[in-house]
Amino acid sequence: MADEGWFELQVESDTRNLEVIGDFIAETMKRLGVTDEKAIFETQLAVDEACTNIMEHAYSGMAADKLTIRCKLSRNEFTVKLIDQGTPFDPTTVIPPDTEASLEERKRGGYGIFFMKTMMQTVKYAFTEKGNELTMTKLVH
Amino acid sequence: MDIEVKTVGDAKVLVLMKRFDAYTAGPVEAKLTKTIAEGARKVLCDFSQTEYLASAGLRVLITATKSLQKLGGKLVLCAVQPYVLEVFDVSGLNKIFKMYPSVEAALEDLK
Repeated sequence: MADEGWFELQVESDTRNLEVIGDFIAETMKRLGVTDEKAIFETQLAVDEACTNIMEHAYSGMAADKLTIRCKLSRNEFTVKLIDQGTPFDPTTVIPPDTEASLEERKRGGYGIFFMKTMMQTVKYAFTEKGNELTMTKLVH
Repeated sequence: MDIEVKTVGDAKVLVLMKRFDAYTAGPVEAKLTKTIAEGARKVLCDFSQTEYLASAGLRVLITATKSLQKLGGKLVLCAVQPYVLEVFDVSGLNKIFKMYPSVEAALEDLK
């Protein structure tokens, strides 16, 4: 555990670690008393998509770089903070895909950020002295 | 990463892994591309083992489905678990991919 109330995981920027990150989110939520499996799955998905973006874009696949995941529960709000030192990138500005589009009109990308925004209550990006900081919150019961 | 491909008549069945995410999407895409290049036109993705699907997996399925449609073939899915189904539902791709409850039901349609 890092600062008071925060649980922390630091991994190398490698998509091989996405499963470790997903397990960390689920285990931390359960340890903090979250029993809603759907909320856990949705949080895992949002965090997975955000981490994938960082690994593939901010760090351009450089595995030696570090990615920090911090999370905590305050009342019924679960907060996840992702910190990286990659290229500054604000994912909240990406245009979401058209979910009514036909197969022909469908593009390959855009779903990751769409899931982050759909599965979480808030998604906020900031560039700080620590690097890129993405903060997402989810209401849980 | 070993991805099992079964041949049933003229259909190919890909058994997907527990997690279909950005780590596993590359090998699945390579296997699908190879299977199609070798002549498969009826492809079934078996999701019975898959507990987790991320957008990287969706991208692979969109690309493979488009490729097969251009060649007069088709790609269908089966045994999609509840949370994985939510990913298809939220993205609206549940209206685009044909899904069946079991391998048998999907193969019957592919005949």
